[in-house]
Formats: sequence, structure tokens, C-alpha cells
Amino acid sequence: MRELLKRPKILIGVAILLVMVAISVLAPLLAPYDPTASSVMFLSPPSPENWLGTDELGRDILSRMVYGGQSSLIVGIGAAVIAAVIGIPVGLCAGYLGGRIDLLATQVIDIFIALPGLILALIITAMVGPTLFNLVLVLGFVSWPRIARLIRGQTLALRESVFVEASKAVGARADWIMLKHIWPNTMRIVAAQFALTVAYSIFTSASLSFLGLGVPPPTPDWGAMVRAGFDYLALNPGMSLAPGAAVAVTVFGFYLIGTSIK
Amino acid sequence: MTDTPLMSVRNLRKLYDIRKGVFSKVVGRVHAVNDVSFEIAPGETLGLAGESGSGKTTIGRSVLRLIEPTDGSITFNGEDVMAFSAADLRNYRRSAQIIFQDPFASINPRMKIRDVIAEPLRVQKILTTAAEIDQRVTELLDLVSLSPDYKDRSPLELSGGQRQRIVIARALAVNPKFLVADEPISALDVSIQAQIVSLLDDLKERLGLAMLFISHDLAVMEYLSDRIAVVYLGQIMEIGPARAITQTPKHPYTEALISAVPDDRPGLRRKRIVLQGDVADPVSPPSGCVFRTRCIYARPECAVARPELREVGPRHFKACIRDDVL
Amino acid sequence: MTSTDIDDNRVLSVEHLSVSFGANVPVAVVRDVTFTINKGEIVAIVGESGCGKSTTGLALLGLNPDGKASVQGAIKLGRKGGDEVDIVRLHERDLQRIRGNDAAMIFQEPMSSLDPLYTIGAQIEEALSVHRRLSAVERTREALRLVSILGIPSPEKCLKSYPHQLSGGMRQRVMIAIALSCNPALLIADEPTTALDVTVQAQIIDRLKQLQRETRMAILFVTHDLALVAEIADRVLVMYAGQIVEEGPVADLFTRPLMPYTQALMHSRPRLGDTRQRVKAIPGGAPNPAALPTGCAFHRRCAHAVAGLCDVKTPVLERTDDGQRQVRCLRWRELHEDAQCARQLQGNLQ
Repeated sequence: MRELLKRPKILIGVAILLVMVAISVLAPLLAPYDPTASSVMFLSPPSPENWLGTDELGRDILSRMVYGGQSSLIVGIGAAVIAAVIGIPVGLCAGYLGGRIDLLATQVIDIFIALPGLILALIITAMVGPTLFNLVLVLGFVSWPRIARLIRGQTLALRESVFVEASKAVGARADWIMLKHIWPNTMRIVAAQFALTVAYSIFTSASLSFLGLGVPPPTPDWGAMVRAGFDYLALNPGMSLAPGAAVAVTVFGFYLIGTSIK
Repeated sequence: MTDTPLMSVRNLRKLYDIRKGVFSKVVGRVHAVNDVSFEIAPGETLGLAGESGSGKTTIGRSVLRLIEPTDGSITFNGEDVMAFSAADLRNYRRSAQIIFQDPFASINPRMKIRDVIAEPLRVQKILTTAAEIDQRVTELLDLVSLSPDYKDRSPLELSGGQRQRIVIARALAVNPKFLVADEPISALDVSIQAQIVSLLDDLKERLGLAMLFISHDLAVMEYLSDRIAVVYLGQIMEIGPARAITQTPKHPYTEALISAVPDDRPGLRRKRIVLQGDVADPVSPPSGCVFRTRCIYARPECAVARPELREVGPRHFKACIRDDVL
Repeated sequence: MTSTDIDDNRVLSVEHLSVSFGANVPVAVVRDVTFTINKGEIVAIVGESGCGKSTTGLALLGLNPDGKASVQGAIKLGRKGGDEVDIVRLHERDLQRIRGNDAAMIFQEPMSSLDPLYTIGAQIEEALSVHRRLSAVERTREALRLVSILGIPSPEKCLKSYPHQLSGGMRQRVMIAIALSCNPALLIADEPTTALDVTVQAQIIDRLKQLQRETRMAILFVTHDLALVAEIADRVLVMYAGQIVEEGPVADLFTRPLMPYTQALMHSRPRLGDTRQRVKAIPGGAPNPAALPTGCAFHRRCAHAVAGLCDVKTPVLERTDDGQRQVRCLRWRELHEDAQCARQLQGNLQ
């Protein structure tokens, strides 16, 4: 653990994430305005009163950004965590145990990947209702197959390693081997996919918002803000760029952590 | 007087299906191991000599049931290994261990050395407390002449020779009576090979280990083994005391193998038998004696039937119908 | 009158060859190596991995990675036309005319030198077309002849096969056929049989020796296998830590190794049929070329090292009185006399 913290990449990554989380948690203290308070000063460029300007309903972009982290981070990270929690065991078991378990798992994974994630998320959200909690579950549910497929591929390769055979030779069971030998060697790839899933979830939830099934307005949400800002890029690019940057920074933080795992 | 053998292998067979085509139809079978029998007494080292495609590696893994044999019987300490349940097999792994050829591949690069060596102890639940495990790991490192401060290092920092010592330490953690050594030195530098050879020699003595030593290096095999079995295309051609095999071989293949080994003592050149062609195709092996297509003493009778192993000396057998050539 | 008047009998003359890697802090992997090879001679360079033997072999054809390796010294190769060139000073373009033609090289792993997409026949004919002027018909015939003399069974079938369809031994034979296709004066063989079964190795060495007798081609054989050296070579160079530490005719060197490293190397491998021996491993490991020990590079592992001498003074390559041998050891004379006394004593006692 200690040596983990010695590496600068991880420290920076963790620092970034902590900052983002801190900003979101401390939003009420940091935001200069009420994020849902509209005004007549719509689409105004950055000024001393509104550092990032205002959006199409006159709301302060900076405040919305600060508050936006709350739902975006929950959706993004939450969905990625659910995807990992489902995808990793499925991938490991399918890859290592093979046979019928693998056959079943691959079919399911292939079906999920073939379907456009957005449509699937749409249908399910429409059925269960667009609350934050549901969004996290749905997006996680839609994203797990990709992680599973990645892990399965790695596992298939690692299964044939000599050190796995050596482990079997000392009498290790499948669960031991999967936990101690296969999983540690797939962590790095998962970390990269995790970061991507965070980004994917945030933007997919934005698309869902666009269709009325995402984070219910007027709650600020980075993905939704980016989407909304597309129409006004010429007038106030900050509308899209700022929340976009926030997402990028968050993902970058995960990326740094992920790629420093050896 | 023969004691009860520690390991007795009878009529061991391993067949692989060859599949071709879109529907993976089975079009043939490869006899990787074709009716192999031998015995190993407690504390004895049997060398398995052969070239690529001989099946010696498959034999080594089969007796431990790391590869499932297709047929045959394996008896260890009086027990029928083929009948072992999963739990029995795990128990078996306490008495019979293996060291592999590639020291870089056989250790998980992400584990610390301590955990690598302690793995058998944990998996077999032999020791449970951290203190006990730590002490045993130190003992084992000492056994392979490595200092205790290797415990916290990563395999990535270690050289091939050091890693192979770790592999040996891991195999010995459970105090096995029997060790399969599958080409343990081929992947090492020449001067390091000598260190590992000496280490294995020493450990054999100290721990009374029985060993199945698999290698293509005949000089090292003669040095470490009590008896040698010469394997070709999945069959034993000759088996007997090490010196007898290397100095007075009775089978044409053994003779060719021994004569092919270069010797650096000028003037002591053996009669060089140069075989024709390469190793026969294991998918469609020659009828009768599988070696006959390369044998310089081959006769038409050799194609009729597979020669039985016949006794030619004390515990010395050959699979050849001719008695008049060697 | 050329300033470099080559000895008519000489095929290769390497003078003070040094090869270093690394731009900022260059590490010398080959240090001041000098040797010659005469026509029809088989010279072996033997040593463990990291001693610089392979790098030396590659340098002879200018094959060290350009930009990463810095080569100094002179490598004078006698060309077929009679003139002589210095490989170190040649450009890539000129080197290509030499490679395969005046000197050829074969490697340990034939699979990486053969293109998996082309038949063997196509690859041999391609090699022929680079350096020789033959019609298409003649090329095919020559390719057939080459694989036949290498002892490949069913040569026609072989020419039509792809590399992956052949065994390791066959592929190596094809490599040799390609190398020999233009009758080079010098063949450099870098561990050509290390990856092969011992019976296949015996076949190939046998065939190589036969061909060498017929063509009077010189061979530089790089290997770690001392016994193989004894079988094939006329003269042997022992390398350690980038330098030549012993040199001499094979029979003499193997009967009387003068350098402790050579002796240790011989004792570190069991010999088939030798019932009395105990294998004695050389302690420690090969030195890191970036951090060589002071004084003699071998002293830390040497059973005869004397403190104050071997760790301080750097030995040079000395010639023995009869001029036939070279040794790089500060104590060789002393040790040699001790050994002789011991032998005499044993003789007297018996």
C-alpha cells in the first residue's frame, strides 16, 4: 500500500478524484448561485458575475458545474462499479471454467453487445422510471458485458500460463487460481475499461436526459449540460466545454490510477 | 531384492484427437504416449530421455494427472492414482510435485517471492499462521541457497537461475517424496545449469527424493539418474541402469542418441551414428517398430509387430527384435 | 601497392574490434577483439550468454543495430575478386553486396529468417537471384541441388513446401542452403544447432563439415557448447565479458586449458561416460558490462584469484612461447607450472 502511494501517477489520479468529489460534496458552499435559478441574462459570456457565463435559461454555468458533479459522479462511478461487480466474476468464470458456463456467458455477452446500449437503457429506464438510483443500475447493467468480454479474453490467455499450471500442480482449486493468479493479471485492463465506462455512463445518461429519461431537470448533470450546450457552441462554448472538461478530468483521474497498476 | 516401488506405471496411454474441417471432425489420433510402463523405487531417479515429439513431457505430466491419461494404471505408494477423487488428487499433490522448464513463465510475476513459495502451504492448509509460514519460507530459501531477504522481492528482479531455485523451493514446500523435473535446466545459461544440477543432486541426497528427470541432455541425465528410459514417439525403446544405457546401449536408437552427443575430449570420439531423416510423423507412425524407418539395422521383420520390452541385463530392457547387433 | 597487403591465405582479419551500446553512457559489449580466420579454417568463438560472441558475429557483416551500436576497429574481409574491404567503414549499400555473397550468416532460429508466406523454393531462388546471374531454369535447378546436398529427403517436395510445414532441422538446413547459395568464402554460424534435437544437430554438423571439406569455405562458429566446439572447430577463441581470454588450436586447448575460466567452464558440465567427475559450478554470474569488476573481469569467480593482484591489475592477452596459444591471465604461467609439477608428482608416485 505504501509503495503504491509512492508513485506520482497514482497520487495525482487519486488527488484529482478527491478534488472532484470534494467539489461535488461541498457544492452548496462553493457554488455562487442556485444552480436551478433561471434569470433573464441568458447565454451571457463569461463575466465577473458569472465566471463561465450563463446557459440558455440564464442559469450560472459555474454553479451548475459544481452541483452537476453530484449526479454525474454518482451515475458515472456508480454505473462503472456495478458493471465491474457483475462483469468481472462473469468474465473470470466464463474464461476459466469454460464449457457450458462459458457458452452461456458468451451468448449473453454477445447479445448485449450487439444491442445498442442506449436503446436498451432507454427501454429499461422507461419501464422502471428515471430516478438516480435506477439510472445507476441500468447503466451498470448495460455496461457489464464489455468488461466481462475483456476479462474473459485475458482469462483465456492466462489460463494456459505455466504459473497457472504450477498452481494446479500444488493442488489449488479453481477459485484460488482465479482470485490469486488470474484476477491480479487482469486488473490493469479492467482499470482502463472502468474509466471508459465512467465516461460512457455519464454521456449515455445525458442522452437519456435528452429523451426525458435521465436525471430529471432542472437538476444539473454534466452530460446533459454538454448536450444542451451543443446548440449554443458559437455563442458560449463554455456551456459544453466546461462540463465536458469536468468529465474529462474525472476520467483522466481514473485513467492515471488504472495505468499505474503494474 | 526389490523394495515396493514408490511409483508404478503400467500401460500408460495418452491420445489426442486431431480435428479438421468446419465441424471439427475427428480425422485421426496422435499417440503422444503409447503403452509406457516403468517403476521408480523410493529415492531413485529415473531419467526420461528423448527428443522433441518423444512424449516425455506428456508422460511427466500424466503421472501427476496434470494431463489426464487416456488409459493405463498409475500406482503411487500402493494407491491407484487413476481412481483418485478431486480431494485425493489434492492430497496426492502433497507427495508428488513438479518443477517446470521455464523459470520465467512458471512464477506469477505479480506475486512476492514469499507468496510464491508459501502458496502450496496455504493451498494445502499445511500452515496457517503468518509466523509459521514465514519461518518455513526462510527454511526453504535456505535449502536452495538463497538468503531470507529474497522473501520480499519480486520475481521480476531475479535472474533465471534464481527463479529456478524459487521454483524448486516451492515444489519442496510440501515435503514431497517424488518430484517430476521437466527439463529444469534447458532454459538456463550454461554456467547456471551447473549450479542447478548440483543443487538437485544435493537435494536428492538430503531429502531422499525420488525423481522423474525429463531432459534431452544426456550428459546431465547420466549424472543425475540411477536409471534411464529412452523414449521415442511415445514408446520406451530401452530402459535400464544409467551407466549401462550410456556406455553399453542395447537399442539402436539409444546407440544413435549417445553417439550424437558431442564430446570435448579429443581422441574419445564415439562411433558417430548419423540417422537418416527426422523424427517420424506421430499421426501415422510406422507399423511394427516405430524406429525402423531411421534404424540402420532395420530388417523387413521389424515392420511386422511392435517389439516387446525384453530383458538384456539386470533391470535392463530393450524393445528390439534383434540380438545380434549391439 | 595497397597499404593493406592481405595475406593470400586469409579470409578475415579482425583488428581491435569494439562494439558499444547506448548513446549517453556507452557500454562496451565487445572490447578490443583481434583475430584472423584463414581459408578453409573452422574457428569457434565460445562463451556464455552476454560475453559478446553474438555481437562480434553480427559485427562481421555490419548487422549491429545502426544508431544503437557504435563499432570501432577494423574488420577486413577478403572478397571473392581478390580485393579486401573493411566492413566497419562500408555503407549499407556496399554491405548488401557482400552479405550472402562473400560472407553469409545463419542464425539460431530459422523460423524468424524465413518468410512464412513464400515457399522454400521461392526463397532460395530469391537469394540466388540477388547475387548470381542465372536463368530461371538454372535457378530452380540450383535450388534443388542445394537442398539435396544438405541432405534433405524429398528435395522437390521441400521446395514446394512452406516454412511452417517443415521441422526445425529441415528449416535450419534450408537456411544453410540459402547461405551457401552464392558460395561465400566465409560462413558465420550463430548458435545454429542450439534449438535442435541432438540427433538432428549431429546430422547437420556432419553435413556442414562435409560441405566445408569440399568447398574450402571458412566457418566462424559461435556457440556456448564446448563439446560441440571440440567436434567441429580447428581453432577456438574463448570470450568472457567482451574480451578474448584464451585462444588456440582445439586439441591443445582442450587438453591444456590455460585460463582458469576455460578450465572452470570445462568442469561445469558433466561428460557422458565420465564416471568419476563431480560437476563444479562456477560461482556467481556473468558480470554486467556496465559495471565490470576492477582488474581481471573474472577474478570474483576465479578459484585462483589472488587478492592484491587479480583485482587490481588488468591482464593483457599474452602469447605462449610456441606462439600457438594466447591467454589473458596474470597467473597463467605460474598455474601452468604448478599443474605440470602436480602431474609429474603423480607420475612419479605411480
